[in-house]
Amino acid sequence: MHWMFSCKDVSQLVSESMDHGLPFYQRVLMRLHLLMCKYCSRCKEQFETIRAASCHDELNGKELDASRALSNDGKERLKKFLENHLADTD
Amino acid sequence: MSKSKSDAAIIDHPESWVDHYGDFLYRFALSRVKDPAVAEDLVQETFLAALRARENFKGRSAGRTWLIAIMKHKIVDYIRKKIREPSTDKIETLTDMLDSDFNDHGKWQIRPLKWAINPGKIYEQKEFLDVLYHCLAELPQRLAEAFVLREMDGLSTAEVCKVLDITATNSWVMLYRARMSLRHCLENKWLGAEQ
Repeated sequence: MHWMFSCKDVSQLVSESMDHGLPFYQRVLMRLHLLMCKYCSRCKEQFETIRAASCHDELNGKELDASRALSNDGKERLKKFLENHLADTD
Repeated sequence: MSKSKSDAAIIDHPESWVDHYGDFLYRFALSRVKDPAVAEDLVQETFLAALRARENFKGRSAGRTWLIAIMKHKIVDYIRKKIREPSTDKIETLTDMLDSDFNDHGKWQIRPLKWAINPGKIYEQKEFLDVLYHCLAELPQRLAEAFVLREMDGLSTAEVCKVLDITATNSWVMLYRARMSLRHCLENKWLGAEQ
């Protein structure tokens, strides 16, 4: 890798920095590049948005439609299903 | 009794899962698949997978969170089957697509667009989430697995490597490809991006 990172290098490093710590010099050069390149910054923002959307910790159930619920029949079916499988595993 | 303790107690008694978690899981499934019958099937599959894996539930997360994590895998599997064209072995096509993002000097050729979305309010963006699930289902299976384990289940990369039996370097490359591919897919299929 050249001392001056290309956009391709930086997109890889941004992704890697989300998975493990980068060496100091890579971190510094990546940040410098990000300061100067709006497309790499956008790529970083997009990766972060995808992470935020995927992260289960943020799920609090508030976004779900509370008026929808399993029907009584559906609940009975599921209970029966669990009972049968529990009987098999016990 | 603390919340996690009571969760552990509930997970220990699968006969009470329907009453405790049934509606929540059903709503979550419905928010992704729309069809009530499919949503109910997904709840059933989630319970079955949870039943088999319940020894692994250590109460580190809430029972609900644990079940949702299982359900997310089931939803991606369901969408993948539904679109019938799993890109399971299309790693080469994907590599070509990612390479075409950059010119020979490594500069952007297809420039990333600005996304009109606030990551803090991501759950208000139902359309975005729908498209994300569809894009995930279109990923080559191994990449989707790596991504779901890392980003949806919140496993460390070391844990992802253990589950998929791959090296750390391999996992970083796979996660990079998955993110780039999802970025592409979202730009193509979701209308919230602007030049």
